[in-house]
Amino acid sequence: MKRQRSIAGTPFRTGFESWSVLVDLVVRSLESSRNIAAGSVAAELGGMEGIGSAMAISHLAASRIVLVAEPLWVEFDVVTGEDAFDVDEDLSIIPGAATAAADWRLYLPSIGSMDEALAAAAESRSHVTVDAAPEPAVSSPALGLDADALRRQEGAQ
Amino acid sequence: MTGTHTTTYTTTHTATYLADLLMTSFASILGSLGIDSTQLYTGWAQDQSAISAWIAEQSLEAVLLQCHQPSGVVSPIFRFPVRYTSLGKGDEVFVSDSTALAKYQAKIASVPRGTTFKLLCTFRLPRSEQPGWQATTAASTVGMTSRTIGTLGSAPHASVSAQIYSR
Repeated sequence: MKRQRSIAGTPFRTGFESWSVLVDLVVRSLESSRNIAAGSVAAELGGMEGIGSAMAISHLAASRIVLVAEPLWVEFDVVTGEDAFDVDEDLSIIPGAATAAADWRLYLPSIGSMDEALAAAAESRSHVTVDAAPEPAVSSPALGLDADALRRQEGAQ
Repeated sequence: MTGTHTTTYTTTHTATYLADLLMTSFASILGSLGIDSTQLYTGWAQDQSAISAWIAEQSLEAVLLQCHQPSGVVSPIFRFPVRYTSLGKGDEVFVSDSTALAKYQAKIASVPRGTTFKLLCTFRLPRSEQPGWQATTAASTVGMTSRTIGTLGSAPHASVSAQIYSR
């Protein structure tokens, strides 16, 4: 199922903090899976704080980071400027993460002149890539509770 | 019944926004010039914190990004002066505009392989001590051609622009 998470960015919090919040959400979610070793996701994403900060400040409002870990397909964006103060963040473990696949991938968008540094960061990691993210799989119709929709509805009341 | 929601923007918000903007500008310029930016990314949090603190206390006059060529020549030098007034754009309070910098980067001359960089700050008022930063001397811009690139961004209490000095 396709999901989306927005993170409040600068100036609500620094770009460095925004990246840390995003990574923490990915780590907690994936490492809740019985298929993924504890500590492995944190280790994989550690060391990317600088380039991640740059992405969070200037590129994740228009572009997206995509996490694919079947059955998860999650799109992340970072909201900056005045709008950052109005973001309704959901930083709870992403539903479906408990069965996330071990061969997860984090797809990073192009960030212009910093792409070389980004590619270097991805090259040294096995789960991070600058390739284009695949489209989410179309799930067959089923009756199920959409927790995101329920939360949005509860927030609007 | 209707309600309104207002946010009071502090000098910390201004400092955070502009310091973040400066850091990504440095990264973008170094990327365009093909200069190894490992040191920038490694020290990101510390440098952003220092620049943010100095903007918040209004001691920062300008940040300099100096490009040190293997021959000893220091060129180009990017200067980012801070003005402690807002240049708000209509209803927008936090404004970033990378257009001018991107346009300039497209025309910028390349630098020799092996060129490194240094970040320096100049001050208009006594400044707080910040980890990782020591007193030093900026390279001279005498004899260099200067050009104004434009305003990079603005926040409620300050704004940042960019200039370039080259040989």
